[in-house]
Amino acid sequence: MDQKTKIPKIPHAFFKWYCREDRYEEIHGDIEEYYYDRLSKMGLFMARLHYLLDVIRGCQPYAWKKIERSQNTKINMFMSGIDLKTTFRILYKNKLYTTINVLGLALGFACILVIYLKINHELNFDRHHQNYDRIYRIVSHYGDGDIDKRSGSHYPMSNVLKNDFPEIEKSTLIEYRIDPALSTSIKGEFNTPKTYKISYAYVEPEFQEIFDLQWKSGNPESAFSEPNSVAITEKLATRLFGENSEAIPGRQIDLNYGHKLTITGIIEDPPIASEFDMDMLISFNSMKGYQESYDNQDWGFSMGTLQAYVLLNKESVIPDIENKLNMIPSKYIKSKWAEYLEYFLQPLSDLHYNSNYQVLVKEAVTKKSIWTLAFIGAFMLVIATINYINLSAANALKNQKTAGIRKIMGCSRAHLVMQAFGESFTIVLSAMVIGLFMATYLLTYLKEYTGLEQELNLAFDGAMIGFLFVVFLLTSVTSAWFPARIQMRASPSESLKNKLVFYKGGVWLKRSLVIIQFVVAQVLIVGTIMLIQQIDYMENVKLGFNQDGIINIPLPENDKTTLNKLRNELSQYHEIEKITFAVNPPIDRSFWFGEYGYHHDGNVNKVTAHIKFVDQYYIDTYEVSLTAGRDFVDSDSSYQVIINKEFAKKMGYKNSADAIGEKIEMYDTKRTIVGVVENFHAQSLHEEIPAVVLMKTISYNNTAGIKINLKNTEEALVHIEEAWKATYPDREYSYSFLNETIAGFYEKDRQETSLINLFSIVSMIIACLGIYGLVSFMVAQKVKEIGIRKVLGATILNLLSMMSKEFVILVLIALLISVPAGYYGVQMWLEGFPYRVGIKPDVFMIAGLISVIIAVLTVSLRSVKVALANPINSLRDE
Amino acid sequence: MGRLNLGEFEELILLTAGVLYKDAYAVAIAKEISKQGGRNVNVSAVHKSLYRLEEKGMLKSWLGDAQAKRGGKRKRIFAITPLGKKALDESADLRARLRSQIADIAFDWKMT
Repeated sequence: MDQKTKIPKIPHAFFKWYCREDRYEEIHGDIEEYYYDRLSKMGLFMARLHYLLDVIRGCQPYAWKKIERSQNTKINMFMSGIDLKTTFRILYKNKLYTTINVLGLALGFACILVIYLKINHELNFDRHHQNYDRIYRIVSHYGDGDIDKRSGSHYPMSNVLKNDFPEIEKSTLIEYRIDPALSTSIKGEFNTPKTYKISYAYVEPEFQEIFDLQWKSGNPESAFSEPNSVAITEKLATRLFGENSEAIPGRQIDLNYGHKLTITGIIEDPPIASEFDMDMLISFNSMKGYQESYDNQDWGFSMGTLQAYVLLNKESVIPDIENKLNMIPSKYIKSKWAEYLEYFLQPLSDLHYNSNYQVLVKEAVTKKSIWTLAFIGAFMLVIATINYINLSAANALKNQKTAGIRKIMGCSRAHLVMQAFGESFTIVLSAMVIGLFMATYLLTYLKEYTGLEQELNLAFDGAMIGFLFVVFLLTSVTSAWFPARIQMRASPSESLKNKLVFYKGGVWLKRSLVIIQFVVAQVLIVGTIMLIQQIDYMENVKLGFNQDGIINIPLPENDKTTLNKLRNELSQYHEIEKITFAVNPPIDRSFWFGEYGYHHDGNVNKVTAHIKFVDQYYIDTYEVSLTAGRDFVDSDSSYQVIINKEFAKKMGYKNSADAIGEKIEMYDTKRTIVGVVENFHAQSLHEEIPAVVLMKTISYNNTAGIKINLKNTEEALVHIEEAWKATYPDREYSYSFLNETIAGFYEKDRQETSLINLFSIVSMIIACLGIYGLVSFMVAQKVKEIGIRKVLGATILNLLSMMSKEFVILVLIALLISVPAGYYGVQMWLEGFPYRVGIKPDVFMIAGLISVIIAVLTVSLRSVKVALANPINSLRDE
Repeated sequence: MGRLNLGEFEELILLTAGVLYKDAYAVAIAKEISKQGGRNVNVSAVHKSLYRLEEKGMLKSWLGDAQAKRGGKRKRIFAITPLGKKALDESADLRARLRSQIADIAFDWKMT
């Protein structure tokens, strides 16, 4: 065998050392078999790494030698056996100290591990694509004053990119959708369609050349060239067809009631860290004849979910291509508004991190927030390490006598230093192991909150092990340094005479560290309280319409006669009060919007507004209040519209009633304003109230809004389902309560809250450990003083207040810093919300009070023992 | 029940050892479990359970032949004992019995 591919020596020696001889052959044979196997599959480095891990994991009782007494002295890692024994004895003797150290550090490690995983996850988005550096998305800026940043594109863009741009190697349009209704055929018969909570996209044949897909079966080259072709992921294939996946290509699925697609390939599930994790990819030319809005000559239609991606040549110059892209409006679009359009190329590496543009369905995570998280993580680790340094220094002071005796017995300085390092290695290592376990639990708990879906997996990530190793070295070396110095300096005669060496210089440093710890904890507590208040506010604010007792049902079609049938079926029940068929409820995640022209003194002004397609029952059902003009009546058509006050304001009317009778140009037709409604929230409270125009048409009305009598909710639900079954016997029925949908808008905020809440608790615990360390340090130095005070008649309460006075002052100083810092931080954060709660001073008072109480409790916990002790013991000790 | 105590993972190992019959050694068992169960199993976990099961008397073992792909080392082959079979049967019985006692209504999620 080649020299290089041999079993790594050091782990092998370690294995030989611990493994019992009678099992060495079989166990090592197994590990070796894996090693050679991996060598050919993953390369030398990974194989060696895994070998090392196997050796470490194999170090369990079943493989151990039966230890004989005489072998004990052979233990020689970095200390002699005696040292190892002493270390364990010292750690065992100071059980409380050891536990606090280990737990505090473990907590810090767990936090930083989770944060590391999260950051690693976010930073590696879509990196698996081979052409990562050359993939760009075409985005556009629109408008002359307020720039509207768009990620959407136009259908004709496809041909223009392919014909006019030789610099662009490949290009594809992607049209992104979610939640399809799918059914599969068994012997020609399609089963009942079911809605799947997945995402899918229409893509051009070039998609698979630009992005990396792993094909399990099917021909990638031709998979998207024919109309009505679809490639699905393994995951979806299993869900649709069960286990036997070989026979799937060639079979048919039915998409959204009637769109028959033939499966041309199975692809591996994409990595989670990808924006393109669609479960179904459909050939783009399937749109023709299926999708009404599809027209590859129409430059007027654009939407955020239709995006253009390009793969550039290696030689291409970005600004040149952007310049050329900006010729498109004058050459092709030819609309009077085209001059406000400007194109840009957005690199794939920016996609996940730029919140200015809509991504696909995942939300952008800004680099700033990632680095903030990294900063919090580093901070947690630093303050946890500081605690450990404080505690171990206090302990080293107490143990000066031991060090003195050891020196007398002929122990060298180097040996003492080794001892200190050994102690610190042991503690940090065990903290790290416990931290790993904590992190696994933390991860399962956080999985739903941080979007982390990968398991904490040590074995398959070399970077992770490197990271752990660096953290381990940094923590253990920095924390061993201070106690090692104390031990080294300990003068044998002085320490035996019980004259402890004091280190005054470090006290202020330690105090400021405690202050910093409390500042962090207090700011986080303030943050948590404010977050909770803000969410509470957003959920309970008046939205401008009624949200209670409203049930929404997605409608499969908007045929007039069936809708009438459904209405008749529904209205026979008395607990169903009002019914409306509209595009969506007043507030919704998705919305339609457009620019509508308004003629004013010969000029055309534009108003960007949300448009809602409704029927004449909409305003009444949702109880939107009408401030001027009239509601829709039966005889109205799409030529009559109702606007909200914001729209009237944008048109230039201070008194919104004046807008009535004016005409606005929508979809190339002038339409008359017949009424004005009060402003209402059309989006979550993260967004400002937009201008809204309501148009009476049934073409896009695919959500039913049903107002029920809340006293009879149960019956109403049963009756609605009956009415549904009578109208649409073979369509899937689903419903949602509007107020639950609204609460769902703030799910992400609630998740953030629980994350910050967790960090605030952890930082509080670490701050407590910090005080505890400092108190121990003080107590170690003041034992005699306390004894003398006690002899002179001080009560326990006197002593306790003497000890805690200093810490209350420290906490108060921390409060002085954290109030402005917290105020500023919360202010900054709240500015992201157009509708927000005010910051009240009591928040800071609560945070201050909590930290003072906790500080006093912690101090008392440590000092009460000393205060209660018989003064004879401390004074006699000379 | 439960006189023959068998953990979930141990049961898996025991079953796989039976499936592989004359070819049941640690690496093969680990790979078989990964293949069939889709979960990654570490060889040390397999070793631990194999030796434990042998101690309990549910598996017996002997040294097989040496192979070049294992650096010329022999492998330990494991086989199920009658006691092992009994443990497997009892466990399967218990599961089947409990499963059959679940009323259909417990699976009728529409009701709630």
